[in-house]
Order: sequence, then structure tokens, then C-alpha cells
Amino acid sequence: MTVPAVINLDKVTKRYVGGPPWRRRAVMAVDAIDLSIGECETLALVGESGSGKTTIGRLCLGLLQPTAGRVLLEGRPFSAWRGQLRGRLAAVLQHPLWSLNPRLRIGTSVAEPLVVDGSHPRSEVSRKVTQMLDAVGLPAGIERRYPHELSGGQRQRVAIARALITAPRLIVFDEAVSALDVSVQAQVLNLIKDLQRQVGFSAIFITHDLAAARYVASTFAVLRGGVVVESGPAHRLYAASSHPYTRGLQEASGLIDPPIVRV
Amino acid sequence: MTPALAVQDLAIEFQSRRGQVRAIDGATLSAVPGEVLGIVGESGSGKSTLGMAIGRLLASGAHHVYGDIRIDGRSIFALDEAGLRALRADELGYVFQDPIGTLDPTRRIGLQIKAALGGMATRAGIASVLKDVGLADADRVARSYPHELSGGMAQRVCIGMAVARRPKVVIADEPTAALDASIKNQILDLLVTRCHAAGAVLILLSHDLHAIRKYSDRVAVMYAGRLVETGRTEAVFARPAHPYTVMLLRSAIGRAPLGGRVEPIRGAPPVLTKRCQACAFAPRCGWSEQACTSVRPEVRCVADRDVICHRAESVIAGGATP
Repeated sequence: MTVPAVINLDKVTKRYVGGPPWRRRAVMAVDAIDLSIGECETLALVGESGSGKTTIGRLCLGLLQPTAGRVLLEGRPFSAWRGQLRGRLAAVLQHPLWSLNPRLRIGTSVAEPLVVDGSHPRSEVSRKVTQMLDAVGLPAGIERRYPHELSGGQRQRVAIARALITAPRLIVFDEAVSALDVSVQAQVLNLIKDLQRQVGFSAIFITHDLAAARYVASTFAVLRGGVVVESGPAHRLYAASSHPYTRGLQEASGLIDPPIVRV
Repeated sequence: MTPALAVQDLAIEFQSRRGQVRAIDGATLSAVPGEVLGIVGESGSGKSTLGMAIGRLLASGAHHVYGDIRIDGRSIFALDEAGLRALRADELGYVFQDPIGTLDPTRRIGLQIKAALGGMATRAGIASVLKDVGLADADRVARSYPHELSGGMAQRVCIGMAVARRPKVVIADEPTAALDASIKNQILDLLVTRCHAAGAVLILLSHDLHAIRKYSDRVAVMYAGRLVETGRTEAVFARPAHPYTVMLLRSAIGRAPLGGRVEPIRGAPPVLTKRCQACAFAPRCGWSEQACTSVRPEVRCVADRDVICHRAESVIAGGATP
């Protein structure tokens, strides 16, 4: 048998049920999806609001149970992992302020996953924090500061440092660069690519921006209404897609007009 | 033609507990009726401050240091309270990023449009505002509350209200940043057509380079409170004359070829506390020379555009690339 994929979704369905008891309404958020991500691969999940991107991200992190189908992390279902999941999964969200406690210094926030983990002595924790903050390109001494003192790009770097410090196998980036400026976006995407090469982790990159998706990912899946409408290697997104829905998204983000600039 | 909007050497400062911040540091700009002027820049470059200053809508901590804003030839700083109200009601329209947050959550859409139209609104008038922005089911929308509309519908309502009184200037501050990619273009198409129909100048503030390129006739690039390059959109995108424009366009990820890598601009924009006595971009600029760190550049006309840079000629010639 070959090495199991880092994460494998096998005919996964997720239905949300809402409304009052006498008038239940079910929404099919994800409908019988198959996906798999190998070692050091990045899968870009592209789609509009309500297409099921975030639900898939949460299923892969084990935060949601599928209604039907199986989610396997390194070949084992989440129920078989029990207490051993700590530090193996991480998420980076759109607004770093959501993942950083405003009252904790940066150093404390970044150290938290390791401290919770309990596997490292104090002295080593602070050494690793310094090393990690340096790896994401933040200046020395930043661990003494608070989140509100940093710029948006710096905060997102802190969130990435915090996600990486336990050397996870899988990181879910949920719209991690959508709120950032053009130039800062490029800085953060370059950082993700470099760290992936150095540290080696698999990633799910959730975005509505095809330009970011094809830049950072190795494979992609376009979602619409909980169904994958097109998937394949990310280099395919550099040419006009044959699928009309994907092509519409490409046009909307200006990727298949003439190239944006010549400089 | 008299410009519908003229901003002349405007400087705005904010007083905060942490001290003084100069958000606009000598901005100069003008736009003629019927024109779409795009303003691009990073967060903190002063785009939104400039947009709000045009309607004198800045918070009380803001201080007008010097310079002038004229709408149809009249200075907005000379207006009294009544004049200012009339200006905001009749000559300006605003479209903001979050349409549902812009509308009053406690009143039906119809009533809000009626208020925007002024005393003379009839039911047919309200319906025609809604029909003009592509909301065919006007009666139902007029009876709805903002939370009952989708983001795209709410933004259409906001556009309708902004142009209802045929204003001279419409200011759209990131009008599509909160909307899905697939309806972005529809909303911008609508905004541009409605402004054309009303004969208004459209000031489009955005950091979406693609949208600015597609929809604006002229583009102004903002950095550290100044408009560092202003010119015809095609010319600026094809051959930028300011190093910041060059580096901003280079950092757009959509531009990277397969397997290529984009070069982000190193560092972060400065926070000014007083009038900048040099070029504010010099510390991040690959073209900078001694004059850039000691002499404040003034507006010059280079290759058919207004640019604030000592080295614009070499930048546009593509020589001495960093």
C-alpha cells in the first residue's frame, strides 16, 4: 500500500439543519465530495460565499463531523486519533485578530500551542518562539508587543508563526490574505511558499481569489453549491478554463484579460 | 471646462492621544464632469480620509491645516451649516464598502429612498430609482428592511440613493470589497453607468488594481497622503512614471507567470506626523538618490501626467532599474 494522503475526504457530505422544530430546513453545504492532499501539497479551494469552502476546511480540521462519508487524517479517521491530534493541525484565519488574544503579548500567543502541548521545557519554548518569529520575518523584540501595535501584515505573520510552531502536518488557511493590501498579500504568500519548502507541511488554501490560488497552490478545486465543479493541477488556472463557471471567475478576477501590466 | 471637483494642496491632520498624525500631506487633484477617476493606494495611504474630507465628513479630531476643496468652483470650507447640508444633499453622493451597514436597519428601503430624494418623492419616483439600478421587483424591495436584502441588492439600493438627486460628485469607497467576486463587475458596471447618466464625476477609491484599470478613465496613485502619479489609466498602467506605481503593479500576484515569483514592496508605508520634507517613498525606493531624502518633490508634468518624483524621467525610461 502506498503512503496514505495527509488528508483524504471520501464521499463526504455535510448537511446543516436549521429552523424551528416544526419547520426544519436542511442545507446541503457539502455534497459527496472526494478530495485528497498529499505530503507538502497545497490544495486551493476556490468558490463564492456559500459554496462550502469553509465547511470543508472545518471538516478537515475535525471541527465538524460529516453527515455521511469519511474524513481520514494520514489514513485514520479522527475518532481513532483520540488525544494525539494536538499540534498536528492548525488554522490561519482571515482576520489575525480573531486568532490572537488582544491582552496577551505576541510571544505568549505564539508560545501557547507549545505550552498546551506540554512536551517542551520552558527554556526551549522561548527559544523556539524567537526562532519562529525570525522565520516569518518579524523583527527581534516583537514578542514583547501587543497585537494592536502591529500592522495587518505583521499580525498575519504572527498568526502563521503560531500555526507553525508545533510543526503541524496540515494547515488550513481560510481567506488568510483576503483582507491584506496587494503588496502585503504578495509578502505573505511568498512567506507561505518559502516556509512550506523549508518546514514541509500540507495546506488547504481557502480563497475566492483565483490569482492567489494559482500562485500558492499545487492543486485546485472550484466549488459551487457544495459540489466540486472543476479540479486539477494549479497550473491549469494559468490558461482560460474550459469550464464556464471557472472561466467566469477567471474573468471576474481579471486573469484572462490581457495581462494586467507590463513593467 | 470647470472641474466638478478640485482639490488644491490639501493637508489634514488628526489629533489623537498618541500625538499628531498627518493623513493628507498636500494632495492635489481635479476631475471634470462625466469622468471616472480611480484612486489606488495601500491601507493608510489616505484614500478614505480624502474621500470623507470632500464632504467635510471627517471626525472631530481631524484638523484642516491648509489647502482647499472646490466643488463646482465653490470652496467647501467657506460653507456654513446650512450650505454644508445642501452640499451633501444635492451635490455629493457616497457609496461605501458595507451596504447593509450604510442603510438604516430600522426603516424600510422605500422610506430611506424617499428621504434621499427630499420632499418631492412620490411612489413612482421611488420605484423608478429602484428600477434604474436593476431591481425589477421595486415594490417588494421598497417594503423590505435592509437585513432582508442580499449584499448585492443592498449595494444597488445605495447606488440608487447616491445618484438619485443627480449629484456633481459621487465618491465610492471600496464599493465591492464586501461583495462576491462574481457580482463585483455587475455592481461596478451599474455604478459607472448611473454616474454617467447623472453626469457626475465618479471617484473610485480602491486597492483592486484590476477594477481600477477596467473602469477608470484616469487613475491617481496615492502614497503617504499625496497623489504621487495622476494620468490616463492606460498610460499609467502601461508605463508608470513613479517608482511606487511600478512596484505596486509588480507586486500584483495575478501578474506572476507560471512558476514565477512576485516582488513585494519591502517595508511598510510611513506614518507622518508633520509635513514630509523629503520624498516619503524614498526609504522603500530602488531609484532613490541624494535629492530624494533631502528635497520635497513637487508636482511636475512628465509624459502627459502629473507626477511627484525627482527621478520620474529615468523611471519611465525604464533605465537604472533597481
